[in-house]
Amino acid sequence: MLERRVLACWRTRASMAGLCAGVLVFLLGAGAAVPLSLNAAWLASLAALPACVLAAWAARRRMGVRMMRPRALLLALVLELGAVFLLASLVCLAGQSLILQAQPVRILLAAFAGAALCALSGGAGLARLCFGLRYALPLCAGALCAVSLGLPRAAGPWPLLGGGAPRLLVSCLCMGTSALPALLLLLPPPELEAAGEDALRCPMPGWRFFALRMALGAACGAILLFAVCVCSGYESLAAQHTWGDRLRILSSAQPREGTAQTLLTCLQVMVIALAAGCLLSGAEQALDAASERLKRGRLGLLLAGAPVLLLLLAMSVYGYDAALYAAPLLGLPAAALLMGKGKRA
Amino acid sequence: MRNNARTLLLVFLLALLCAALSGCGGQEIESCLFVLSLAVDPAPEGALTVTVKALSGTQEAAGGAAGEAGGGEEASGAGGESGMETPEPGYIVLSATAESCLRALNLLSATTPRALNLSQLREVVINRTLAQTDATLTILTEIHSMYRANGEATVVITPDNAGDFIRRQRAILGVRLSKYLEVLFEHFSEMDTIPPGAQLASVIAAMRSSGGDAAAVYAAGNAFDSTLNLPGAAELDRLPGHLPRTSPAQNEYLGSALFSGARMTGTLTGEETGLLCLMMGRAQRREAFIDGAQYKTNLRTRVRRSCAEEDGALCVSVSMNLTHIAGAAGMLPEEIAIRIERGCVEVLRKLQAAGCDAAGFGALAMRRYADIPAWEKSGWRDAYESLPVRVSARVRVL
Repeated sequence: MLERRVLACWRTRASMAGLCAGVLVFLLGAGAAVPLSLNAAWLASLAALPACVLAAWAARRRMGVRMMRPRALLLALVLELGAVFLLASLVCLAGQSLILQAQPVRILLAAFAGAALCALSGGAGLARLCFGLRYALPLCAGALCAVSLGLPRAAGPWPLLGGGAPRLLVSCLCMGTSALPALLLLLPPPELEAAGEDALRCPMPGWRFFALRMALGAACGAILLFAVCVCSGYESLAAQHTWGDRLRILSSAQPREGTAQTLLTCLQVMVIALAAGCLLSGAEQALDAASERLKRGRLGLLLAGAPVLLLLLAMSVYGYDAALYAAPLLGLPAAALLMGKGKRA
Repeated sequence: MRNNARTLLLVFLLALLCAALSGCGGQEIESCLFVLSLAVDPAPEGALTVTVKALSGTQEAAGGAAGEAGGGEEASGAGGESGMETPEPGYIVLSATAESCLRALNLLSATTPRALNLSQLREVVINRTLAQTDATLTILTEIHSMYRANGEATVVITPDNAGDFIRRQRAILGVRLSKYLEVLFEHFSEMDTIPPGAQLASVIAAMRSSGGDAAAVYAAGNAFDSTLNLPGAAELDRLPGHLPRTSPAQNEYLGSALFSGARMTGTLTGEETGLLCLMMGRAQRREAFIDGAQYKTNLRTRVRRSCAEEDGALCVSVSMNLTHIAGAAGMLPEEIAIRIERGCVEVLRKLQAAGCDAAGFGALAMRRYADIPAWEKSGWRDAYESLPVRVSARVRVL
């Protein structure tokens, strides 16, 4: 019975990492890979799949390894910066599509409050929500995309290599950062921590279990990016100069700026906020792991959220593009955290 | 302590959300001027005159629109104290002249007591002289970039004054003008006499694309005295403005305006547009009159376009099944096929002469190139006009 509960906990945790990976694949692809590779951004996003498998394998190796304080703090920082990137994307997308005339600061405050409220429910609740939506989200996104993009009249993915092989290679490297949510797997599910030592000692699923879920999440993001790239010619993609514009799932040749399009954007906003909430709750858990006092006072989320809010407010003054340029670099500390050595608990 | 921190955080976050509740602002329906048609004409010294036909939104006009002619009649006619024209009850026509389309639209917003709203836009009419310059893409992009501009508005090119064209546009069947325009474009699409993909966003995308060109709707006011008699030709094998008919609707939508890049370079008649739709695999017409006999296409017509490997020829193969319905069938299926082949070749030659790849052969040729630099260096666009054309048609009469 306990084993089954433990398996269920890890399953929800893996679903959460998979959802975050899918969101990051789309956001990094549309934000960073499209300006570089244009219509071949979807091809670059495929690089995220092996990256996710590799990251899940590395994370599984480090599961059950005691996390030292500096490592836990670094983990919290990386997850916070990931949340900043997600929330900055959310602000740019909403500001360019749903609420064009709203003040960016107000969108920012609403986005942060939404994500933090999600994180406030705790990692366990969020993970269960991600698990519950594992079929509904891709199905809804697929149906709305088919209606709003008009796939049968797509321009096609040609020329296949987009801006050229060197640019595609750089895009592939950028897409490696999409495996960042594997860091969530380094932290045990909160319900297992609450259940005590017996639950933590139960055998955990193998690396394939986590790799499959993360790769499926990343594949959903790549398919969505493929739909966008196929429906817009490379000239239209090149004409999208703003970050928020590129995040919209819109066909240039067949505009359907109606209910389906609005619902799709709402779904995007909801999923990005959910993913940001997941990373924030992960950051909270990492801070709790770093300090017992924080854990006792339940101040982790406050400490995790405050720098995120400050960074976002700074970006609202100096521009959100900094988050886009910095996001691909998050892959480096993430790789260090996943690959480094640790002591067995 | 535990719960206090969480509760405080919850209250703080909810307060933050409340601050964002007032983020939506200034879009009351009464404060908007909903534009249905927009026309752009050239003005002296390189300026542009933008004319819009919008819902007046007044009670008098609403009464007039519902059939109370009195109020509407009094307000009719150009000019007036407000400087607005009310050519028909329920609608007003405004115009402004400025250096660019965007500035003219801003001028209209500044001088009208309501915010210009293009979310209900149904047609964008551009004067032919203006469309023959490179300014077309800039004009269309500026219109599309307006807040919530409807990307599905149909782009229409007219040899007449575009402002006068939209002034003449009336909902003659007792419905709203917006619905009338929707039905009108849907009807002509089903007849294949206007090109597919003539929507604002599609035309902009096609003008930017190197793998295809745009085709917009061609339209003109009816001049009954100057009808063109084309012996032996089909009834719709003409350009708008020359149909031998009278009707309450003066404007005629017939044929295509062909673009090479952002510049208009030619026209297709209604019949030629039908063949273009057929070659693009976007034909919707279900009935055809061939040599006095009426046929129906019950099954889907199969069309395949390709670029030949050896000489780059533009190849189209059409396979269609017809059912004879009425009239004496004077032509054999092979003769009908030859007729379709000949018509398609003529249309393709016309497209090549106009430098317009409206059929989208460029997108097919693009497949042979690995990346964008290689495609752009290939010079296919320059060679397009002289490429050989091959059309094969197979017709079965059931």
